[in-house]
Amino acid sequence: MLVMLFSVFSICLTNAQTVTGKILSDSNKAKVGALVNIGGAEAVTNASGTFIISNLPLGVYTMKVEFDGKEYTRGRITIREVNADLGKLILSGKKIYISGEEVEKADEKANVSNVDNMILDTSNDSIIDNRIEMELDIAVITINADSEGGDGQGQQYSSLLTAGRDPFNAAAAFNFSSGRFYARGYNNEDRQVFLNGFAVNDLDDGRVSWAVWGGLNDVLRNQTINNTLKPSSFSFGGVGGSNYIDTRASVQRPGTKIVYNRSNRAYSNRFMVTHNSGEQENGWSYSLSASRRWGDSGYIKGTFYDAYALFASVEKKLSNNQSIGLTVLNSPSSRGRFSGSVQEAYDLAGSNYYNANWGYQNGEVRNSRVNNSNQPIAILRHDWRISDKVSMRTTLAGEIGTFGSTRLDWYNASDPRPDYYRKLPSFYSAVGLNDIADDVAAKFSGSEEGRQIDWDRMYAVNQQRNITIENANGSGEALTGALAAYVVEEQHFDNEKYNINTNIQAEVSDNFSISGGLEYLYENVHNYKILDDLLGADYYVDLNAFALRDFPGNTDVAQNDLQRPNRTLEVGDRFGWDYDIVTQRAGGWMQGEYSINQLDLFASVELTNTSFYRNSFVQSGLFPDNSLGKSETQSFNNYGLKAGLTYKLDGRNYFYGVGTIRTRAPFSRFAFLSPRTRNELVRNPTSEKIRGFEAGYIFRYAGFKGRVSGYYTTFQDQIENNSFYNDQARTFVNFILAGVDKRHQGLEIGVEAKLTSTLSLDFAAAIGANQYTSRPLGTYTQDNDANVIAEDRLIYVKNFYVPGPQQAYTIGLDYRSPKYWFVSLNLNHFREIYLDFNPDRRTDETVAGLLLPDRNETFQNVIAQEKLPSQFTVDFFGGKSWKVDDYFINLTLGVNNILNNKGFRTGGFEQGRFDYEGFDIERFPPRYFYAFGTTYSAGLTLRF
Amino acid sequence: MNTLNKFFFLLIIVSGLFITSCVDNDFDEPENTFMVDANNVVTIESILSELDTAKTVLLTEQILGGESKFLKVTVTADDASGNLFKIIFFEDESAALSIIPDRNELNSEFSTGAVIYVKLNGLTISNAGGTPQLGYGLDDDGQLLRIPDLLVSDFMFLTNERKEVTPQIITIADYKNNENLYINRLVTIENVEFTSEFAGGTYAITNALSGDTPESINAIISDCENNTLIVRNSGFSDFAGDLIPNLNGSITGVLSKFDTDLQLFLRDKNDVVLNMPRCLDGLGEESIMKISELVNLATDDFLLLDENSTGKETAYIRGTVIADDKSGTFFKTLIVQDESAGIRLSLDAFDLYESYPIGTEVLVSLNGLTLKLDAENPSIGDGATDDNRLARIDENKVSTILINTSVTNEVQPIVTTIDEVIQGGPIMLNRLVMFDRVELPGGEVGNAFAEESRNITMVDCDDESIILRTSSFADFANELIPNGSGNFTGVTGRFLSDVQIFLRTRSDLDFNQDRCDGSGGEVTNEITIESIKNSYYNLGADSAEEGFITGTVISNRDNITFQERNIVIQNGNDGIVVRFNDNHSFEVGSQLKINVTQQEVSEFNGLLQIANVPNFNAEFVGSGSLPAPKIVTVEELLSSYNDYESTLINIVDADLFGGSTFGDSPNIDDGTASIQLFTKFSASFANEQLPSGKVDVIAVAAEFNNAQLILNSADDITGGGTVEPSDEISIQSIQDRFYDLGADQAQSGFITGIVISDRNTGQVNSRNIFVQKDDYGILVRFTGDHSFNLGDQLKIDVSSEEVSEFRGLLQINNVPLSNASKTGTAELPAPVELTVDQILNNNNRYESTRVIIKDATLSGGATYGVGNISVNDGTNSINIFTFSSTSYANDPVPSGVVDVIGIVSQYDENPQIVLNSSDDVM
Repeated sequence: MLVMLFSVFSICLTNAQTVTGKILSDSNKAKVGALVNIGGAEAVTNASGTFIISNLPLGVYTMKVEFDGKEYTRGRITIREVNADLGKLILSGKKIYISGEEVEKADEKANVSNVDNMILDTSNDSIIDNRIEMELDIAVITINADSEGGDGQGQQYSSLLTAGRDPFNAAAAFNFSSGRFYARGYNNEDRQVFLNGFAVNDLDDGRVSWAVWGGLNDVLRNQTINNTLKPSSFSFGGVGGSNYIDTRASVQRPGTKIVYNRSNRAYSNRFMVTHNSGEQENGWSYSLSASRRWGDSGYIKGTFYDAYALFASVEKKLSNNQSIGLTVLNSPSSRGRFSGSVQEAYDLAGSNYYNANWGYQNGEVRNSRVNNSNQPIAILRHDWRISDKVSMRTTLAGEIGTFGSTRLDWYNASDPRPDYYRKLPSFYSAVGLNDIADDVAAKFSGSEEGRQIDWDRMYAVNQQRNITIENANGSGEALTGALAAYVVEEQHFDNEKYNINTNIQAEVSDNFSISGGLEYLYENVHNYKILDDLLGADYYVDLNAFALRDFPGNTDVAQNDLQRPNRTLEVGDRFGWDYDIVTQRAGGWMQGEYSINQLDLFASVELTNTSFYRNSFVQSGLFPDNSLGKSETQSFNNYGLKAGLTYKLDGRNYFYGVGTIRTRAPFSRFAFLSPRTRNELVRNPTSEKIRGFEAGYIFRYAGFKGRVSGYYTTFQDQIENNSFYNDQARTFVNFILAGVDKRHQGLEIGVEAKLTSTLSLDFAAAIGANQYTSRPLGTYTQDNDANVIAEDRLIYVKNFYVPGPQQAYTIGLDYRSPKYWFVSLNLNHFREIYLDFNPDRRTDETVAGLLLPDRNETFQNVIAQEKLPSQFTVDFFGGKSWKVDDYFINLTLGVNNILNNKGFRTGGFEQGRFDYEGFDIERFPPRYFYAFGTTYSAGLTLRF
Repeated sequence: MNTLNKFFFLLIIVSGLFITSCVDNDFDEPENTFMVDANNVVTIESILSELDTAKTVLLTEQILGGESKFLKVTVTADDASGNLFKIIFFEDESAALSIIPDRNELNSEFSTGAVIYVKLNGLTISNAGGTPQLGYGLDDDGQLLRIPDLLVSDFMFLTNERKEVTPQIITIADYKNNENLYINRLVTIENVEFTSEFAGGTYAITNALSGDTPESINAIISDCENNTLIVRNSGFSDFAGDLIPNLNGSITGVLSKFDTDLQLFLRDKNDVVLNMPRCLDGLGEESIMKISELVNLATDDFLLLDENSTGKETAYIRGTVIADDKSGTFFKTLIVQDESAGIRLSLDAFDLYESYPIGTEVLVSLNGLTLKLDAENPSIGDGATDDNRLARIDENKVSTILINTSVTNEVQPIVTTIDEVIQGGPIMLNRLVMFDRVELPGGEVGNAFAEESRNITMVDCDDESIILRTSSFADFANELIPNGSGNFTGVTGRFLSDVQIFLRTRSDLDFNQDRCDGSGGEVTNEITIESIKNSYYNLGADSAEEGFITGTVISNRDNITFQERNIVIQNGNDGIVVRFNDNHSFEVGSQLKINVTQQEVSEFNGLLQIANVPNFNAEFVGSGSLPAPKIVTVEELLSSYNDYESTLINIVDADLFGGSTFGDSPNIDDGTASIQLFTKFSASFANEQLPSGKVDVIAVAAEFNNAQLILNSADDITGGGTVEPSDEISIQSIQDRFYDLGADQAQSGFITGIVISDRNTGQVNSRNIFVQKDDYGILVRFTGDHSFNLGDQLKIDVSSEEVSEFRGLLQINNVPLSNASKTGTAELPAPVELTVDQILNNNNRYESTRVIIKDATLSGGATYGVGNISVNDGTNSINIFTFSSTSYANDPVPSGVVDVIGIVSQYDENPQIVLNSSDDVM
């Protein structure tokens, strides 16, 4: 069998050739504007359906044609002669037939193509990497022009709708992500994502948790991606675009696939098995996938990975026009987390990947911060082709699950975190105690025990505790025992979501179509924490240690729940806070698209209502009157408008421009001043206003294609909410910025040039300037104090940059051998990287003492935004595939950051505490994140 | 490979995958087994000896004689109270020492009593600051440095062992004479007090309330030989804001030295036990006299209490207050007793009970006061009055001579007889006694105790008698003297030749037995609640006849839903409120027998009650089940309310509206009528969420100006949840509920009606319709644009929908479009003929209905689109309002006399008419 494996393909290379052919429908009509790809070389058909591909060596190739959003493939086409004419090539089902072959007619499938691209099995499941995979996995160019009624005069060009395999997008997804580059500086919440119609963006903060379906790559690869403001057929779209992931069983590639990956990134191993039936004669289709990702430690020590994934989708074709399908999936996972640290700790630990979250317990590595996710999803989808011109898609979906994040908590005990600033040498050297600083440094750098969490000590402390609580559990009786000093708690953000929506697409006439949809979404995020581990103690108590300290002797204010005073806790008990944030959104959108000879026009409108409230199940002793029960309901009406045009100079050159104006309701998660303790709202929560415009030029020549576009987007009246423990106030503080305005502007360039039929050069550049344009007003509140500590502090951050790289470049060479192997090498460059900032450092109140001339330099240091150094990285990717009988075998290898650049600060954040007396910005330095050094991922795939 | 094989293959792979690839996240619980070989343990004494030759010594291997030498010690003081900061004191058998780690909340691990090891190698011992301490090197000024937080775990090791910590008892002088022996030790110093500069003040300056910066205080304690010691209190300690007792006693703490100042640190407030007279005034227990000694000294003459008379340099008595001035029986007087005797204190101050309530243990500083058998009663005062009586002690002196020790004692009366009291002499005076069967004269029964202050003869069944003296200021003075005999608790006294007894409070008298001659006692005839009610309602009787009522308590006191003095008691079909004089303790379900003889019967805000019943009139006779609640409709309930009030009622199949929690006191509507379901905010379930949908309610019928129901508990509402609206409700009921009850939500159900507004004219908002049934109408505002036409017959589910006014016009707001369905079409209801005046005066009644105004003239514009056209029919005028965009806006306004058909609407204060068409003006 192995011998056969290596002898299957024997191909001779000869001189360059020209290949022509004509693409026809199965009813013999010319397909105008179809993208033909033979062995990587591309051409677009003209008005008679004819294409010409130059410089293609003789050989055996895979051929693909993309047309009208569908892809047709032919596994083997042989170019035997110079200037070959392939004759008539007929598209039917998903295949390309050569004239004379018997054509199997297949039912038209929906507007989603199904590409299996072997470079796709990158094996890293971090959220970003997962996204890369998705974005690479996409279906290319969707061309939408009905040339069958065309007049053949070459004046009607296909309309370019989306450009999924746009060279820029590919680069942004694949090469820029390691530098924590976010396209256009947008956030996760600016993109709408649909999982088989289920709108998965969380309503409370707009964000998408990609990890919810991690590990199911093979069944989620059917995606329609729109990274621009241009119209989608399935949604109005976020300002950053939209994704539609199609999980229907009938569109999954039939067959069985087994994948194993080995990597040193987030996890060590991944095993994935998928079986798809394809559509069977009885109208049923099914698709099953299961995977396991695991590893005791990722690239960063302590970050274990333990994830399963299961997926099942069944679909029944009810008639020629209707089908109904059910998808259920779940990716339960448990992962050890990493938190950034200060450079001092990195330097002492000798690694920029020092992770203070873990420590040894009985000699085993245990991470104190673990994310546990278990959020199953069920989606029922109905597709109905009402007539030839009208189709409707309806989705009913739900997600109910838990998401927990553990951390240490302590009660009347010292801070157990090893990189707490009072434990670092700089705390001593700052006051001249250099000998002590040296000894502390030696301890910290001397051994892992010296710089990691000491679990054994916490157990020892807890085991010997002997504390008496008066009036335990409100019983009036005292309880004496081992009340824990240290515990592990798990903070929960449990999602309960329901979603119903329906989309209609109608072709009103040959050149006018309408699409639109209605949606209703309900989300209840249940926020609470549970006691996860008593660490050897007998019980814990539901008291607010902060309040107890602020109001000594007042036993009421210290109660987290007045209704259950002095409640003792066992593992699994809820404590602290327990409230729901219930958010609902209802809305609809409509879009018209009009196409004439050289112009495509569209306009869309969306109207939504968003409402939310908080509902607490506990009555805080600090806020007895406004903590329990429901808050008032907030309601916001919002609109969105979008319009644009594309000018089709010819079939290869497109110019487009799109503008939008819209409002967005404030996110419910950020609308409460201190949601863990009370119902009080941010003053005057208002909808944010977004305006955006983008314009671009797309060219698409055989062997040379690309896009140049520019964007200009403004956000007004955003609310930002930071919560952190403030040492100086000795409590949790909430710093709320209102009236945040931003302007995102820049250029995106993506070019792919074929140097030869096998070698291509890719170039992409994102040159942005994404900045704050207002001076927001900061409001300080404390979880333990009803008073607003500071109100309307002017924050001097105008012209600050949105954190992250503003500019990213990549240039790469990509060699694709006809012998079914490929390698690519990319050089990436990141510039203008800015650090996230502490707003309170940039207020009048903070810098008031610095306005004297002799302190000007200090003043500048305090208010400036830190810019991180520019960086280069080099990535390699390669793969080879074989076919043995009916078995396909793929082997891939990706190596990121080949130069092992371990000094690449991708970002970080400034601490909430600041040296308000000495103004020494190094006193509480920022915490940084570093890009991984050299990492690899190797994958082996068997498909049959 | 066929499909079956494929599946088999996959199954093996998948199961193998899930079984074998484990990530180990189970962690064993570590056990603390830290132990040091005894050979490596050295004593504190041996380390301290290093300081004999130097102030500071770095503990090296050479000095210690090993590379790893430890102390094994027990913690004697930690930082739990915040008085100590970043320091731990400890001792072994040889000596005491302290250590200064740079860490907060050391008590979480190194708590008092914990046995710990301290590794010495690498630490520095120093007494440069005055106190020998272990630390981590010296700073440039020679100050000992703290052990850095990160390194604490290298030097301090916790064991699982604990030991009881016993302070050593020493004197201030001991410490001063032998500093080195005691420094760092936990000690108790007895017979000391804070100097007058500090006594009565706070321990330190705290920021808890004042916002001041916390400040430490060097308070000073002194023994009676004027040896003093600094007690250093931190402003961060949890007792910093507490007051220092103005007394003498024992103080415990750890000893240290700051520079040359010797000082003591309290561990927490329990270390201060001060309950004896101060040195300046006396010396501890020796200065305390028995009260009997004092009583024996008392004569009819004025006796100045001093060293000569008492035999003590300073003399005190220590006793417990057995009677105060709270009830008014005593005035400017406290009675104090100890085990030996009692005495009367005559004080020129009011409201003594606030500082010295019954049960308070007090010290009385006797020097300078006067003792006398004042009117033959042993009393302490201050000098003589003009009429040769004992003078009261001046108000300004009270707090200095009468010291509250903060101790509270329970006082049990001496069970005795009248005879023993009469014969007992002074030693039996001013005592709390109890007689077990006495009575008051038959002729006094039914009289008030004391309209004027007076003496009544109390007799026991042996015919021994004693005078009951009652002040007209007593809070029970107007209560009636009961018929019967029984227990009596009181304070003995004497006035001239009369031995007397005083009743402190009415509840100390419990006459529930027959009189000695067999009469009286318990009332024996039962009267019915019904007869009380009938007498009140029919005859206006404002007091009850002689007799008792029985019944079951149907009000729940535990959930605090009823006033704490009230019960609702029901017997058979009748119930009534009984209002006691004091808070009662009768649980729901208790069977009571209540003597209501001559008790006041009155209405309180409409609710009938038997008022001001002494608590002792009620006797608990057992527990039983509650009477079956009467199932009634709200309408029935309201129509004969007096029959139902104060009984348990069951309303079935009703809706709650007008609130989300019990405390909102929603209204309950069963379709016949509605009534408030009242729950006090302080009720235990006031914050619980109300159920929605149809519910059954069991509650007590009550009245507070209006009839209301009072719930006993949240569980008395059953049912609820979401119910399909099955009942039609009238538009009128929605209006009535809004205008009369303020109900801002519709009841559960649907309305039907005919659309009387035309959506095509543009005059009515595209989300709004006017709908009318019979001659009631209302505006329904949908959540979106509707498509209902004039004349459509609609059914609209309005369950729990918002009912509100929009600029004065009542609307059912934000009704989802899906709630409305068209059931047919119908002719428009005939307009009701009204004059403009009638419309204006009954706007809420006619709003949103079709009306016709006859014989009117129009003015104000040539076309309707100018906004307002005035309609005047001679009685008054009202405007027709039309938008300029309305379809008939440009139609001409006819002149002359016309009839106008329109919908009555309202805009703020102004009723107005809305037309469907210009043809509506005829």
